[in-house]
Amino acid sequence: MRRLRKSSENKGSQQSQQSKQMARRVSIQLKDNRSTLKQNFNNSIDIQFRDLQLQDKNNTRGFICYTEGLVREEYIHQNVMDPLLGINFNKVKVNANSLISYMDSHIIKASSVNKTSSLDEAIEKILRGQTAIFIDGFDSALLVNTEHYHSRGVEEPETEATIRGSREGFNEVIRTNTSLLRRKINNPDLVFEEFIIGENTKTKVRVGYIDGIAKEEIVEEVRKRLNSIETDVVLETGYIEQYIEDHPKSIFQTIGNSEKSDKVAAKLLEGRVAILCDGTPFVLTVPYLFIENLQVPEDYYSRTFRSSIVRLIRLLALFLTVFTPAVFVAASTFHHEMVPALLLTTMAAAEERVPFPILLEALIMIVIFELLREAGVRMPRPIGSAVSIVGALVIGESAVQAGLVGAPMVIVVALTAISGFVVTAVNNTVILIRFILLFLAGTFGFYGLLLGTLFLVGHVCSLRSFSIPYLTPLAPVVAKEWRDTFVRSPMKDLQGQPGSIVRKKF
Amino acid sequence: MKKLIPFMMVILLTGCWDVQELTEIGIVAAMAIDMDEETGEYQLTAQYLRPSAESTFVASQDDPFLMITVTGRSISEMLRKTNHKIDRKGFYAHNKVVIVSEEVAKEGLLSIFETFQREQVVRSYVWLGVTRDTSAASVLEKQKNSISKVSANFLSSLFDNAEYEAVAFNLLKFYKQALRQGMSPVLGVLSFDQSNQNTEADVQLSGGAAFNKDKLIGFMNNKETMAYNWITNHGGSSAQGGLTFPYKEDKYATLKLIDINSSIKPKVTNEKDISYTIEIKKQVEITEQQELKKTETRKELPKLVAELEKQAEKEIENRVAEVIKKAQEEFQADIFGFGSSLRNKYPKVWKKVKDNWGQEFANVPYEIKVEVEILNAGLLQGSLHPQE
Repeated sequence: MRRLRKSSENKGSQQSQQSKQMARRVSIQLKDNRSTLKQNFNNSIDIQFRDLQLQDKNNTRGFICYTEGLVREEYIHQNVMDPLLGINFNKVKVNANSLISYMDSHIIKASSVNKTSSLDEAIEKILRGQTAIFIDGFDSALLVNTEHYHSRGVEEPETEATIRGSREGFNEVIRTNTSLLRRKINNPDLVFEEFIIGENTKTKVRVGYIDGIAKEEIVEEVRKRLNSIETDVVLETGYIEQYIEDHPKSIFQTIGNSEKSDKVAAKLLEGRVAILCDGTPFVLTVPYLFIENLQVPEDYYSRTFRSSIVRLIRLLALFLTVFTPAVFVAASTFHHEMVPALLLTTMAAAEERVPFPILLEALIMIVIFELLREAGVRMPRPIGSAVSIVGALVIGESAVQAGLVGAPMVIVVALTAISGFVVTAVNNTVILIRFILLFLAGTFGFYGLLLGTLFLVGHVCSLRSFSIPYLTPLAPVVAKEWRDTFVRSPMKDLQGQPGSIVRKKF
Repeated sequence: MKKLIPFMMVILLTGCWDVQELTEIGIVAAMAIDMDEETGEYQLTAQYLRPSAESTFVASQDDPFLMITVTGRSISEMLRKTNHKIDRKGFYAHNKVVIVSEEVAKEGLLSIFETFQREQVVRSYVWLGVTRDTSAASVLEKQKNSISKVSANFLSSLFDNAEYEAVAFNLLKFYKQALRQGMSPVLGVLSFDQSNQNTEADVQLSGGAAFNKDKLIGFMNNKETMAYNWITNHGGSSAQGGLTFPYKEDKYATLKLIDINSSIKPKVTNEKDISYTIEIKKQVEITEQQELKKTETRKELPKLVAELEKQAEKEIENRVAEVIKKAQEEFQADIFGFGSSLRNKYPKVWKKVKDNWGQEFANVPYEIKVEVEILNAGLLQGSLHPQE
C-alpha cells in the first residue's frame, strides 16, 4: 500500500488492490460485465442491478449496480436515474464515443463521480456504497458516490464519564470521527492519511497528526508499522493495537485509547498520533506514556488546585489498589509486630472463626469481586441492579457472617475495588499485578512484596512506546514536564498549551 | 518458560516457612517475673489476650485476657514452656510492660533481660516496673481501678502518664543507664495503695526504685522521686508536674512547671578534690494560691511573686538535698549520673576514681543552686477575696 497525503474520500481507496495481480478490466460488452459482476457477487441478494435504456439513436443499453442499504436510493433516483433517463441524447448532439464522458460532466448531478476501467475497483466501490454505471460499448464505468448508511449519533461516551467538558464521543463511522477532530482543530496542518487493512474486511484506517507538532519519526514509524500488518480481519482498533504495539508480551499497554473527541484532539495537539478505524468509536493514540493513565481531560478544564489534588489522589489510588491486599496479607501473616496491638487483637478476633489462611481469604474475595465486575459489564441493563444486590451480599457482612472471611478483609477488598475504579485506565494491568504481588506477599511477606515491586519497576523502566521511554518524565527525568505530571501548574505556566515530551519542538 | 519454571519453583517450593496465621499466635501483652523463694527458680506470668472478647461483632463474655504461669531457671526456657500451657504460640512483639518483683530486682535484672536482647523477642520500648510489697503477678490481675479491660493496657497507661512523683523507664533506657559508666537507673514502682483501709487496695505507680547498676538497693518515697526527676530532668518539662508547698501557715500554693533546666557540673581542684554544683532553673506559673487576701496596691503583686519564688527555691533546695543525701548515704548508688558528667568533663580524673566510684560518690561534696522564675499567675492577678 502506498501512502496518500491529505487523501479525500475517493482518492483514498482507489489504490487498494493495485498490488494485486492481474486486474480485471471493464469489458466492452455489457453482457459480459453484468455476468462477471453477478458471478463475482455470488448472486448475493443485497446487490441490486437495474437495467437502463438511453434515448439516443442506438437505444444504447446499460445498467447500474449498487449495494442495498449502503446507498441513499432517492439520491440515486434524483441525481442519476432521472437525468440519465430523462435526457434525449439525440437533441444534445453528443459524439457516441464520448457518451460516457458527457454523462460524467453534464448529466449526473452527484458531487463525486469517477471514471474507471478496472472492474475490481468497481466491485470494491460498489461494496462501499457507490453506484456503478455501465454503458454498452464502453470499457469503462462511472462510479457515483451515493454512500449513505445508518449510524449512531454523536453521543456521550459511556466509558469515560466527565463532569465538565465536551460530551461528544466518537461513533462507528470514521468520517464522523475525523470530522469531530477537524471541528476541534481548525488547522490545515491537521492531516489524515488513509490505510486499508485486512484482506477480508478491507477496513479503513486513518492516521491523524498535526504536521509541525508531531515528530516526523513517530509518524513514519506509525506508517511503517501499519503497512507491515498482515491480517485478514480488522474489526476494531484493538486488532491494530495488538499488531503495532512495542511490547506485546508486557502487561502494560503502550498504546492509549479513548472515545472522547476532546481527549484525542488534546493528544493530537500535544504531538501525538491518532489512529482511527472504521467501525469503532475507540481511537488509538501513540506514543502512550505511563503517566497518561493518571490524567484525564478534566484536569485541564478545572482549576489548578482541584486538578492537582485529584491527580495526587489518583496516584494514591493506584498505590492502594495495587498494594492494599498484598500489604494486608503480608502484615497479618508475617509481620504482626507492624500492626498496632489493638488492631491486631480485633483482626485476630475477626479471624477467629474463619478456617482459611488469610492469603486464601484475600484470593476468594478478590476473585469474587472480579466476577461481580465482569458480570456487571456483561449483564443486560434491565437486570443490572440484581448484580449490585448480590454484590452487596457477597462482598459484605453476609460473607463475614457465613464465616468465609474476616471483617477486615471486606474493608481491604472494598478499598482495593474503589481505588481501582479511580484509575480505570490501568485497571486491566492492575488486576494482574495485584495477584502477583498478593502471592509474593503471601509466601515471602514484605520481602517478596519488595522484590516484586522492584521487578515491576524495572520492567516498566524497560518499556518504550514508539521510541519514547514509557516512564518519561519520571525516568528519564524531564524536569520541565513535571509542571504537568503529578500536579498541573496554572495554564499560564504551561504557556497556553499543554507541553509534551513527544512534541517536535520541546 | 525457562525463566518461569525456576520462578514458580521459588514460589511454590520454598515460601511460607515462617507464616503465622493470626489464629495461631497468642498475643502476650504483659509479663511478670517473680521468684520462688524456696527453689530459687524464676516464675514467669504471661498475660495472653483473648481476641474473641475484643471482637467488634459479638464479643464473647470471657475475660479479655488470661494468665499463664510457668517456672524455670532461664527466661528463654520459660517463654517456650508457656507454649505447652496454652493453645497459641506466644507472640511477644506487642508486649507492653515487664514487671519484676522486688526479690528478682535485688538479684539483678541484666542477666534475665539478656535474652530479650539476644533473641529480640521483646521490643526495647517495653515499660519496666518493680513491685513493692507484693508479687509481680498480682498487679497483672484485673484491677478495679482500671478503665481498660486489659490490665496490660492499664499498666502501660500508668507509665505513659507518669509525672510528679513517679518515674517511667523503658527497657532501652534501663539498658543505657545500667550499662553506662557513672550512672544507675531508677525504675517505676508499682504497689498497692494501703492508705484507705476500708476498700480494696488500688494499684498505683509512685515513687522510684533505686538501682546500683542492675541490682535494686532501695526505694525512694514520692517527694524524693520528685526531686530525683528535677535533678535528672527526665521525661521533659511538662511531665515533671508542679510543686506544692505551704505558703502561709496552712495555706498552700502550687506552682506549675513550664520549663526546667537542670545540670550537674563537676569541679576538680588540686587534681583530685571533686565537688559538684547542681543547678536547677525552673520557669513556673502560679496555678493555685490558697491565701485569700486583698491586694491593696499594685506594688504588692511583684512582692508576692518574689516571695513565692524565694520560698519555692528554698523548698526545692531542701528536697534535692534530701534525695542526694539519701543516695549518698543509704544507696551509695549514683542514680543522678554524677559520675558520667565527671567522665565527660574530666576523663583523666574519672579514670582514677572510676573503680571506686561507689564510695567516692558517697562522700562527694556538692552545692545546690536553684532559680525559680514565676512567669505568670494565670488569669487572676491577686487572689479571690470576699467583700465584707
